[in-house]
Amino acid sequence: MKSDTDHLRAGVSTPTVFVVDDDPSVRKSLRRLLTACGYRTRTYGSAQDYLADDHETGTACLVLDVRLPDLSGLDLQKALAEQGSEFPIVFITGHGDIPMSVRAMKSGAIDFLAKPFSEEALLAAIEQALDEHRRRMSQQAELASVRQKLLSLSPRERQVLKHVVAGRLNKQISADLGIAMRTVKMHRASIMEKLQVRTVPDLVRMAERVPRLLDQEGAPGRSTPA
Amino acid sequence: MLTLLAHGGNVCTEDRVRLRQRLVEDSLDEPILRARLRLAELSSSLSLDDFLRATLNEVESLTSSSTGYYAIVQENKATVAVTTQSTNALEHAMASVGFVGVGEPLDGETATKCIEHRRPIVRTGSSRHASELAVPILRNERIVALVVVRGNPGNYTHRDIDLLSLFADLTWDIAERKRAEEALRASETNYREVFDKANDGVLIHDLETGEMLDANQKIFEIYGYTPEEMRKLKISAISANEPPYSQRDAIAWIRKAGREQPQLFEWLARDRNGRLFWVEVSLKRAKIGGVDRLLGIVRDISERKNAENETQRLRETLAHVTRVSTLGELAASLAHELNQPLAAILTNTHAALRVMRSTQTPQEDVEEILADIAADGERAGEIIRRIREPLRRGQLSVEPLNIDDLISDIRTLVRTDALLAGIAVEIEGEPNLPQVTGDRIQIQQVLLNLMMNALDAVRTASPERRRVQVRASSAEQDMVRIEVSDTGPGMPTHTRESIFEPFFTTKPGGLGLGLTICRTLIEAHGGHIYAKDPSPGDGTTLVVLLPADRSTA
Repeated sequence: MKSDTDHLRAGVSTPTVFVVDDDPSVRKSLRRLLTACGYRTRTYGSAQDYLADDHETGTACLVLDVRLPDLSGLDLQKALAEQGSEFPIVFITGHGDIPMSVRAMKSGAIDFLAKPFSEEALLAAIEQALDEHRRRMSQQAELASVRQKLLSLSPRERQVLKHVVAGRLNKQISADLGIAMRTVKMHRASIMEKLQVRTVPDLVRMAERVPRLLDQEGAPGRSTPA
Repeated sequence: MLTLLAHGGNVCTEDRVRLRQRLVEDSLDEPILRARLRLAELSSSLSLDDFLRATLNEVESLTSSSTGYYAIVQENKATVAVTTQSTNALEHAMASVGFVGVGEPLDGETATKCIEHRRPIVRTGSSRHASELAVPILRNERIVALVVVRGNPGNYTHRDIDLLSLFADLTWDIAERKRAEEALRASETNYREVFDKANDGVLIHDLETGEMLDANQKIFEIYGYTPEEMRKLKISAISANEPPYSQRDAIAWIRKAGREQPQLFEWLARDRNGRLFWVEVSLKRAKIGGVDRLLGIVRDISERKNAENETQRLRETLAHVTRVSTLGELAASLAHELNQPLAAILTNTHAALRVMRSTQTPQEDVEEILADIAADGERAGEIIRRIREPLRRGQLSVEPLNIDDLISDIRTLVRTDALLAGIAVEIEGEPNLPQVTGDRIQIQQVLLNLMMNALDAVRTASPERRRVQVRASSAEQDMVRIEVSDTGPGMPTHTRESIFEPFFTTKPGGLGLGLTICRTLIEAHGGHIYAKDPSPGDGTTLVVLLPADRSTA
């Protein structure tokens, strides 16, 4: 048992588990157990309390009771999705029914545990949720870097890139944009260099990760110095 | 021959008399007799056209002619068309362009004169013309047709004229009869086809005996019997044969339809494989072939009925679920409440284990956790105890309740279930039973719960031991007693009280809260519920006592 908490403490940042449950006993016991397991634990008595708090950006997940006063766990899940929260959710419930759990899982929940749950099941679900969060974060980081690279292109370069992604030949791009073939080739070389890709397929794949960015071509404040 | 003549009807009387004399005179003329005999035989086996041709062939040979034909005279006499030619004439017509064929207008002196004078006309043969004899056929003073023969090498005699007249008259009679028969057969064929191809089954019964006289193909399809089998069956064999679908009921319907107006009703029928299905029957007195019969139309409505039954079943299930779910909801809410302290206890225990293993943690932390675990244990016990208290959720809506109505409501709810499981539900009431005061839904829940337990207890018993009884009676101290008994395996005496304890159950998957809640509800109404002292092998009887509403006693 000790070994699996040690690696958590040794990490750069200790993962956080947010617990939302209206039962004080359950809340308190969960804080004890999760803290003993080496997680940073924050507990809340209602969905509103959770929403009102500021949450740091490290690795984290939510353990969420389905039955909560006023705003239910499922409602909170929906509200968080709308806010763009990236924290994966593990549901716990006193008396869950199948439609409820199906709804929760379909909305992206990691697991749906019936109270009283075993320690093993809870910790496994939490670890799965944290892994999911790490995966989402690294994906985010990658996307951000792609976005950054794309934003470093000049407006003309982005225009050319759009045509390249659409599968146009240099000759066609030259005709479409009314610029010399030589200029097109020059823009292409510059794009490849700025985006740090070596082949056209890599270029297309990268551009497709952020499809909307190319459409913002010429939007005010978007152009960056080439 | 006489019989053939008798078919003649009221034709020209004068001719008839003369012909009859001739017949007697000629009766010994062997060739004529043979010819008549042949025609008599042919009349039944040949089609009309072939028969007419055969008669022409006979007269042709009897009058030594080479050809002969019949021609129909239209009522206005304006058109005369050849209808039938003798075999010779037919062959001749094919060989010679000049000869009149069937359907062609007839022109010729002999025929024209014959029509004009309404008597036989003979034309003497010459180098230009063959000899010719035309005889009119008269019916009701009207000339309807001609028969013409020609080509006698000599000249036609009076004997030829009589012979042709006699044959023409006879054959026309036969031809008319045949024509009528053929028309009838054609129309019968049509009717039979319509009859057999009808989408509904059609039966024709004797009005007096009820015997089946005829039935269409559809009837045999509906019931699965052959016509022979069907004819021997009584109505009971093709019915559910239980009131109100018995032989007796069927006869009552038939009598009613015979006596009064047409009857339309639904009937539970049975086919050859014993399958029961619904038909709609229309019975009607009708004149068929001039005789008073009973006409029955049978339509298979199984599909419609099944849909109706399904709807009915769903409605009952829904009502059932609505009532049962109130109980289920209560149980679910208890489970939810109970699971909170259980979750906390379990989680705290694991936390304590972890804390104890870790060397740095102070001892006080473990003590605190154990105290919390104890508190949650208390809390769980409290929840269980609360089940016995009168329900806190919602107020009792109190109204006077009629026991008979309550029981019949429950019976309706379990009827389908009981029927399907083959369980007999017997209700025993008492006249002038006082009403009780209480919450209708809650009392219904209790009775339904007891009833479902009773049904479950006998579900797997042998068929004759699948009985559930509900008895209502007045009891001492202004109480009303409702007993729900089953013929199931019963229970040992020592479990008599345990059945009301929470989470006591004998059913796989049961929550063990049904009777606990029943007792809570009944006691909230100032009543009692208990299990009767069981006699061995006598099943289980649960007794509910509720205070009578004195104002209605």
